[in-house]
Formats: sequence, C-alpha cells, structure tokens
Amino acid sequence: MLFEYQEQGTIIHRLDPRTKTIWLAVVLVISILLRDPVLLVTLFCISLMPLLLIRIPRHTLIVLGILYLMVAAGAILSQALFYRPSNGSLLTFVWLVPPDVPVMGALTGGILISVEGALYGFIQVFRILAVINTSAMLVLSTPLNRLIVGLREMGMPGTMAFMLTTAVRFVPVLMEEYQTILSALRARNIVSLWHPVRMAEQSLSPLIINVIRRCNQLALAAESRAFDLDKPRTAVTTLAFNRADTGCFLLMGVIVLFFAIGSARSAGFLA
Amino acid sequence: METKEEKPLITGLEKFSTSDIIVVSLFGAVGIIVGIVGNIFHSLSGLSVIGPFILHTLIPGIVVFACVTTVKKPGSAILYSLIASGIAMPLMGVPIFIPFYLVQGLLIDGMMIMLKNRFWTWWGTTLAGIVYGVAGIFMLYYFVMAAQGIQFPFWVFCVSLPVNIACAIPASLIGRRIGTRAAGALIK
Repeated sequence: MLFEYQEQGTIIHRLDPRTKTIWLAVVLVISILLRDPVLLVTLFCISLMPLLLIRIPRHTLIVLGILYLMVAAGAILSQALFYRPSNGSLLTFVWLVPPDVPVMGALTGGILISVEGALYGFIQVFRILAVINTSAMLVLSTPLNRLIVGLREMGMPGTMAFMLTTAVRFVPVLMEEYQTILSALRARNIVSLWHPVRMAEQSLSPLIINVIRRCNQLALAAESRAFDLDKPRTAVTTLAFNRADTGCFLLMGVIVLFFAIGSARSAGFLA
Repeated sequence: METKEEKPLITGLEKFSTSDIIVVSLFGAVGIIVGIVGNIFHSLSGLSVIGPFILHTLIPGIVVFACVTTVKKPGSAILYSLIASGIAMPLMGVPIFIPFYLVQGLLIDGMMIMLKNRFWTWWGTTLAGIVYGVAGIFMLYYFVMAAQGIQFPFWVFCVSLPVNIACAIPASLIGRRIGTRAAGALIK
C-alpha cells in the first residue's frame, strides 16, 4: 500500500474518524472551488499542518515526496503543452507543431509549449497536493476499522460496511496471490508487456477463479453466523466526539469562512 | 404490553444474497489492487494523454465486467465501483476519482437494466463496453481533470476516445468470459 496506518499517540490520531473524514470533504470541495493562486497555496499550507503533526515515518515521507514530484511533473508538463488562456494570448512559447503543418497542424490548431502554461500547471499542483495531504493524513492516522465504523455512524448501511471491511481484509491476500501467479507466468516465459491484453487475461483469470473459491467458503461462514438477519448489529469499536473534535469543527468553520471571504474578494465582490 | 418492532433499513441491498455480497466484496478487493497500481502508473506516465487507457480502462474493465457477469444483478457494478474506488482512490490521495468510477458503474447497471437478457450476449456486452469507455474518458477529461484545474483541448479528447473504446471492448469481452467461468465455479 502507498499509505498505511502508522500507530502514534498524536492529537490527530486521537481525533474521531468522522472529524477527519469531514475535513477531507471540506478540503476537497474548497480545492475544487478556489481559483485564486494565493488562496490555493494557502490551502496547501493549511492541509500540510495536520500531516506534519502526525510524525510521518521517513519511508512514508520519501513516498509522499515522490508522489509530489510525479504530480507536479505531470501537471506542469501537460499544462505547458495544452494550456490556453481564456482571455489573452500566450507571450512566451515555442511551436512544436506549427498550425501550418499539414494534417497534424490543421487537426490540433498547432501544438506549442509555453511558460504561461507551465506556470498555470505549477499553481494547479497546489490544488491536487492539498487533497493528497488531507487524504494521506486520514489514512496514516486512522485504523481502517475505526474509519469504517465512522462511516457507518455517518449513515452507511451495515452491509456496505461489511463489504468494505471484507474487501480491505483480502487486499494483502490477493496481492500475494497475484504475485505468485505472475511468478508462475514468468517461470513459463509467458509474460510479455508487448501483449497487454493477453497478459491481463492470463494473470487475472486464475486470480478471479481463486477469488470465487474463497467466496464459497466465506459465504458459508457468513450464512452460519446469521448474516442475513434483519436486526440492528453492534460494533466492538465505539466512537465519541471529544473536546479536540469540537475545536476542529470550530477551526473548520473559520477556515471555510476565510476562504469564502478570500474568494469573494479575489472575484471583486468585496472591496 | 405492546413492543414496537424496529423496522429494518431498506437500502436496496436486500436483493443481493450473502454469496453475491461476498463476490462483489472480493472483486472489490481485486479492484482496489488494480486501482492502486493503475494510479501509480498513471502518475508515472506524466501526461494523462498516454497513461490511462490500459491502466484505467483495460484492466479495471476486465474486473468490473467479470464481477457483473458473475453476480448478474443490476446494482452490482455500482457496488463494486463504490468499494474499489472508495478505498483505492483515497489511499492514493485522489478521492476526486471516486465519481469517475461511480459513473462507469452506474452506466453499466443502466445498460444491464435497459438491455435485460441481451446484456449477456457478446454484442450487448460490447455495447456496454463502449459506453464504459466513452464515460471513462469523458469523466477523466471533463470532470476529474477539470475539477483539478487541468485543461485539455478538445482534439486530445477526440484522439483519446477511440483509443479508450478500443481498450474497453476487449476488456468487456474478456471480463464476460472470465465472469462466465467464475459463475460456473460459484456455489449459489
């Protein structure tokens, strides 16, 4: 897994998973709505704070750094190539395919690489990274069982919670199985990246048949424990909001207000 | 003394048997793996123009079509998408991709309701595969990328569309073939 729960005793770890899930939703919505570059950088900085508070291990920091670089490279490069300002023209650019080139030029209207596009891409990186920071904070500081109980408390049906738990429980098992299948294919020299369709079928077929074998056993086990019973169920893990959660909700309110006023000002609605 | 019976919550999941629920969950686990791997390589590919076809369409397509062919009930695709994307995408730091998968699942279910038994014929599945491919590339460029402020000209979408459909059709047919085998192995 890219991000896995890390047990630590920080204040972020002690927060209710519902608070962190709501914070993720808030950051996601704000990041989509914001247009002002300064506000985007501010959102990135705010989203970074809880992540820094959870004392991330070194190897996770390295993974996060690589992810930052990949996202930044992808966004900057793609926008350098494809960004076109809605009002105004590009000032610093180099034509890769001029518009007068037959077929490609006529089809695309010309392909160019521009400094303005790269700058625009660089600003958009903060929007994506703010969500990555918050997502990583949630996953690194919340055990999955508490997260699922939190989602259930927020109204998710029990069956759905069971499905999520089962899926997550079997990810490492299936990953190991998939590795074994790939090793067996490699040993028979039938793994070829030149035939992705054939390779996908040859590797996924045995995996899915194994999955079905497991399904048969699990269904029997679930039925024998009265899974279909129409009665409310209880959970071992219980959740309760504490003072820190209340503080977080107040802080979230202030942050939302700050970005609402900031956006209104940058759009010219407020003097 | 009268006791009031607590009414069970109607969620629409009642029409799925325990076996169906577990099949969708385990296919969801495969979808989580595929989603995580797909996102790593998508990010590595840098440009979204060349990355997503195999990693966001072909392999996840095989899994989702295998899942619906095994369960054969409308609603299974959206449930699968909810599980696979609901876990894999936040783990990858890209929860914005969740609607991308949900729309694909919703459309596959919609096709299943619309085509009824014809969905399980090769042309019905192919048609669903085409819809899956079109929805995927549309959501990628006009929802996921747009919401992240990333712009692409219309010609990039036009060029990507046939490539994505060309990946989605074999995905749906292979998924159908694997799903048919899997359904035979399942004790109902």
